[in-house]
Amino acid sequence: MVFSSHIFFFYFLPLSLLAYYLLPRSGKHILLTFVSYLFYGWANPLFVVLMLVSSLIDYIAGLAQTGQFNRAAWSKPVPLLPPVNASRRPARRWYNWLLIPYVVAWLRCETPGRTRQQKLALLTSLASNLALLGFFKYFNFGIDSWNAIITSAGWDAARWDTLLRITLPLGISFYTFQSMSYAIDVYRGEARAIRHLGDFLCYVAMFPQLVAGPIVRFQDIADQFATHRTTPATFARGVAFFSLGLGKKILLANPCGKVADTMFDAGSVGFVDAWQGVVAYAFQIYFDFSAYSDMAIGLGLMMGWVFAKNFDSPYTSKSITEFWRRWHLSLSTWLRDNLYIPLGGNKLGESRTYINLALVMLLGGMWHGASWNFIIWGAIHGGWLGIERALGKDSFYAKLPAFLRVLITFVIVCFAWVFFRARDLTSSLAYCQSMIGLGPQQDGMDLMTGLATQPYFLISMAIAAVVIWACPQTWDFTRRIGWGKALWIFLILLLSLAVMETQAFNPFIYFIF
Amino acid sequence: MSDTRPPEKLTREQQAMREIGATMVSSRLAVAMTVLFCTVMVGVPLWEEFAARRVGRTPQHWSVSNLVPTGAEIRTIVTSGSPWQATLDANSRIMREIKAYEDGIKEDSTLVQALIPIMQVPISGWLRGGNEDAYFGHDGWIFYRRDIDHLTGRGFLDPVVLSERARSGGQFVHPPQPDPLLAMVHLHRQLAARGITLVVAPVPGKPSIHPEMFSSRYVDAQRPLANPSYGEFLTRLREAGIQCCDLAPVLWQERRRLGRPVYLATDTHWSPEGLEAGALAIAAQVRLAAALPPRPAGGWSNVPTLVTNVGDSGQQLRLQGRIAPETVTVQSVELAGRPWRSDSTADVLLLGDSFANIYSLAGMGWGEAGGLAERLSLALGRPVDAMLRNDAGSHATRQMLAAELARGRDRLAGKRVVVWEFATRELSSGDWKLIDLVLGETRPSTGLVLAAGERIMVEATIATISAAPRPGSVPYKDHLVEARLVDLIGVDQRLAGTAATVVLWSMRDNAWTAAARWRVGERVRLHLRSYDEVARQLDAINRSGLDDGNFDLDPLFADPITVE
Repeated sequence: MVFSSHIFFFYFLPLSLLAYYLLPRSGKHILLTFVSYLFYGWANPLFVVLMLVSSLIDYIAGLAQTGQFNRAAWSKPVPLLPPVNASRRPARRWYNWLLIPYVVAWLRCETPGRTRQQKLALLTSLASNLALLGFFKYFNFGIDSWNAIITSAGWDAARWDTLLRITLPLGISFYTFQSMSYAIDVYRGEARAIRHLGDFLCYVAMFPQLVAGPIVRFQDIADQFATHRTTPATFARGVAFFSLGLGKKILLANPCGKVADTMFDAGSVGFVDAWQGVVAYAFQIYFDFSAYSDMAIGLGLMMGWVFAKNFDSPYTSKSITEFWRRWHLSLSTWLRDNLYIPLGGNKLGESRTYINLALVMLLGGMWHGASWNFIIWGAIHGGWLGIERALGKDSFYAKLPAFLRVLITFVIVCFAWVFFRARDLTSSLAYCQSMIGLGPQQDGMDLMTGLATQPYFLISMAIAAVVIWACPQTWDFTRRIGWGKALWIFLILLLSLAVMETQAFNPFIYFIF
Repeated sequence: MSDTRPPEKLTREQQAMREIGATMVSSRLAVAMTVLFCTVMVGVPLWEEFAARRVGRTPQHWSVSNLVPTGAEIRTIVTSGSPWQATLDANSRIMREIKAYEDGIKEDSTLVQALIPIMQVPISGWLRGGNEDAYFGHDGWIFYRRDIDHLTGRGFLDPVVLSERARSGGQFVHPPQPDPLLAMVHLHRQLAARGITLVVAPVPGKPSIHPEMFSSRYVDAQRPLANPSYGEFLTRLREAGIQCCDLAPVLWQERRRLGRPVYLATDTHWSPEGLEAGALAIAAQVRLAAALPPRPAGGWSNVPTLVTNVGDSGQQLRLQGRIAPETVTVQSVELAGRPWRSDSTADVLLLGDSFANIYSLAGMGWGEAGGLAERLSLALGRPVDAMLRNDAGSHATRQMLAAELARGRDRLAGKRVVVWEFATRELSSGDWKLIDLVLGETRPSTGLVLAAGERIMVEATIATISAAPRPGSVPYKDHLVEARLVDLIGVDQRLAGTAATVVLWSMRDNAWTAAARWRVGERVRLHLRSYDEVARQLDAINRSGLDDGNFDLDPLFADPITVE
């Protein structure tokens, strides 16, 4: 189900809120779990089973880590495991660079305060989630890549021409990461395991942030199970978040998306059109994704839950390093805490830091999808992070005027978005050629101008630019709400709903990740 | 990316909690915002409930019973030898139902129907934003999105494009056969085996011939626009020995000769002048393709008729009265005061889409008896047989022909030339399925059969029903669906059979009919009559078929009886 749909806003949401407020706290979590599964199953009922299985594995892993399979343990509160401060690393042998030997060595080496059973429980959670993610996300990619290699080598007999194409379950990248974070947090002693299955299912499935985040770490929300509450002020702020999010999606992201789709789906585009297309896409993906986050935060607030900021005006960044402190914060924080720091972060020397940065960004790219394009997108960002780190604060780049640094950063981000958006590597390279005026020519390429220069699209893009570079972001805008602001918020809500009703299905970009 | 977090620094969640706690809004305003928001949310479904009850109708939002597994499905899952497949089947059915339910609620909503024209005025009218399927050009011209996409997209014969399309499709849609050349060679060989020559006649889309009306960068264009693969397509057709009448240069020349448009401003299709040029070019190609025996002149006459209408693209925008209608002179063909009729004994068969139907099919709003078949017949000076259907020119008419042959009716008997007309956009987006033309035996229908003039009222269960498009999403205002009915019970007569295939209206004048909302398993009441009675009017209307290759049941035409 999509937030920006008739069925969600006029039926699902009011019925869910009504039932939610009629129930006591314990019932609220069960209801929220039920409606979240309904919300998720609306796209494909069978995927519900997948999410349930994934959640159950992590739930059991949490219990196993804290020894909850013993009946006597249930009479006491769930213990918080001591922090894992010093963990011996597996011996530096060449085969330990391979995954399975490394894992076996990690299981066997001593970790103070952790038993092998606890490690095994964590490993089960990680392996099952990553296997799910890997299978659903990379099966088609694996087959296609294999066939491409085999064909180019001339061994057609070894092609695997299966008719089986795996359908990607919505939001699998989000809920597997969220679910994994529970097992990791319990293992690290940063959160207590949860005994109440309903609460755990609720944490994984909570519909406001289920399909496209923000990814909520268990340790960050665990306390809210006992403390969440709604006041008129939080509900009103939730309304503001939701309304502004809906406006960003319907009034800005969708028209920008139409321009971007036209340019990126074309066989070839001219220089100006190519730039208009990629800027439109940059606007679209920001407004689309941050709109979803805003609506998720708003819906959470309406039910008493607080989710953290996921975007912080990323296109005002003066460097790629800053961009990643402002873009998709829940993912970058997750990757930092669960990948970059465990890999050694910047503590193992200069060269290792670059390797770690590149690795994290490559994996971040792969998290988005199974294609070389996402890997290249991650590599571009990882590469620039490394370059900026190497250049340091004294480089010419850091000394440029602020607006130039914002512009340069935006241009780099746009070039990277080409790989994120284009359908394949060949198209990406052709599009980049067009962006430097060397693109191929085609009869109908100037037709795109006819569409992109219509006032509706030009005005939408202009407003989008003003909102990006001259307006406060949603958190700041909604901090203090007076009657005038409230009027604006409701005008945006009503206009967005009216436009939404005239449009066909308009899913969010991040639904496919 | 920073890897150190000072212990005193707040986490993102702590910052968020603190931030939310610092919200500054007065209690009165907070309550007012909450009440207003809830009123907007709840007000709409309540209004829909009220509006539907007021006219004695049950609102669509109560139709939730199909959204869960049925008892039969659960039994099949539990007892069948392949529970996984049974689960997938049930899941697939429920997904279809969910989609239909969601579409149904929106389409049924009086608020949505009232809002669309209101919102279309600023978005489409003032800001020229168009909608998903129609784009505004200059001077009131409107273009169909698929025509534009065909010209701006990658070459339709590009191996990467072919491979991507072959893997496309959707949750409920089979992937298409993307290669038009395969389908044309397949048809050509089957016809050649019966001594029939195939003439292919792709009609260019409006932006090919009038690109300057969409983008002023084409003011000085010197030739029609084409998809990058079009040249290769023509070459490979000729190499395969298939006759092709390329209408793009013909229409380009005609436009320059006339000094005025050869396409309609608010419609996807050509003007009467464009059609006439096309008909003459096709007639010339037919004469080249086969030495047709002389036939006595038909005695047909031209009757000019003025027709005023808003075209299909204009209607798609749902701007209701804000698009200026166009007036054209249609040259209708008559014989002794009676409109031209297709002749199944003619030696030329025209398979055509809406470019052939316009000015012929009254439902399109541009007059009658002046379409491509009529003008081609006049140009050739001989009768012409025609099988026409709006939309899906890549396969719809071949399917019609195959269905007739499969029922033992040899529509190809005596034919010397088959002209296959289709819109060039189909080359990029059509399903060029390979269809075998096999003459079957004449068999009595295994289902209910009605004689001409016979009418019966029945109650039946929907076994399968094809999907209806959402109004406004296709450039046609009318649409038909096919349904298979089982467990027929005659309301006022005894029935000869227990099953029937029926054809029904699913959309009239851009609004869904009751049949568009019917679901599998639903019990419905209908008036039935023989399809042959209405075939002449309905064959040309675009429809979604059952496509299950079952020709054992002769179709009937059905009128639903609305029961509340």
